[in-house]
Amino acid sequence: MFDLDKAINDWCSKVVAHNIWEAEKVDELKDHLYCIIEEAIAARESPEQAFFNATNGMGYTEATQFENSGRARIVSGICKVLSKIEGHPSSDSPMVIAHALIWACVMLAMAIVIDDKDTNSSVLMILTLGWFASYMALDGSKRSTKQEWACLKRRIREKLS
Amino acid sequence: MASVIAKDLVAASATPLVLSILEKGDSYGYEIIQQIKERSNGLLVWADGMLYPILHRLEKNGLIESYWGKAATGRKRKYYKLLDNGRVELAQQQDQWQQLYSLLMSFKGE
Repeated sequence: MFDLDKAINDWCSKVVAHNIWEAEKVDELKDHLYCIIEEAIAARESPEQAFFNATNGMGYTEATQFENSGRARIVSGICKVLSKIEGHPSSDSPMVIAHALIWACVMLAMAIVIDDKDTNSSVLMILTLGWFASYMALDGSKRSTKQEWACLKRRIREKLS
Repeated sequence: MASVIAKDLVAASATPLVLSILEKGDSYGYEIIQQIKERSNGLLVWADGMLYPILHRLEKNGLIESYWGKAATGRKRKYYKLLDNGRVELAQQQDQWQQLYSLLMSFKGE
């Protein structure tokens, strides 16, 4: 049985997780979706179809586009493993998790190579590889960087409140 | 038969149209879209996701302000209200659009 409230809440969470909408403004988005869906239901559309049309009509394809990409499948797989370890799904965006993993690997690799010997070149290479991986994960676009920054700000606000 | 208005023109006219609607009274996102659809007889089609960034930008620029109210269903609803700065901006934009229209029409039939 299709649960409209749950579907709307899940979709809005996804839109917030991808930093398309700010978390504090999400109630406005929900109200808008309900308005469209209620009108469609009144015109004898099924709730499921009305929901599908309403969310498609919003034009926020970024979240679903990313979900279908190869990179997203890898990140999503990692997220699932982390969720199992943590016991609950992470509220962070998949990109934030990908970056956390990349830089954790960088730090681990540096800890392994740094000893008493001269390891400047190895450290530099690891940092360059980390930067490259990060750049690839971010798509190298200004928009992605802005989205990640918004996500980081949201996390800090959540921690402080 | 009138053709659907081009995307560039839709984008350029969005701010004065939103301000014009709010000049008539407080309103919310969905209602604003519906009003535009009705008043333009379907010529102006706004994507649902297009309006909110405009509203949030206008609010950030101090032209409009929002407040939470309740819909008939009891749901939380965000309403927008035109501020004095918004009225000034609307008057300026109306004037500029009028000048553009006059200029365009001056070439017609030459």
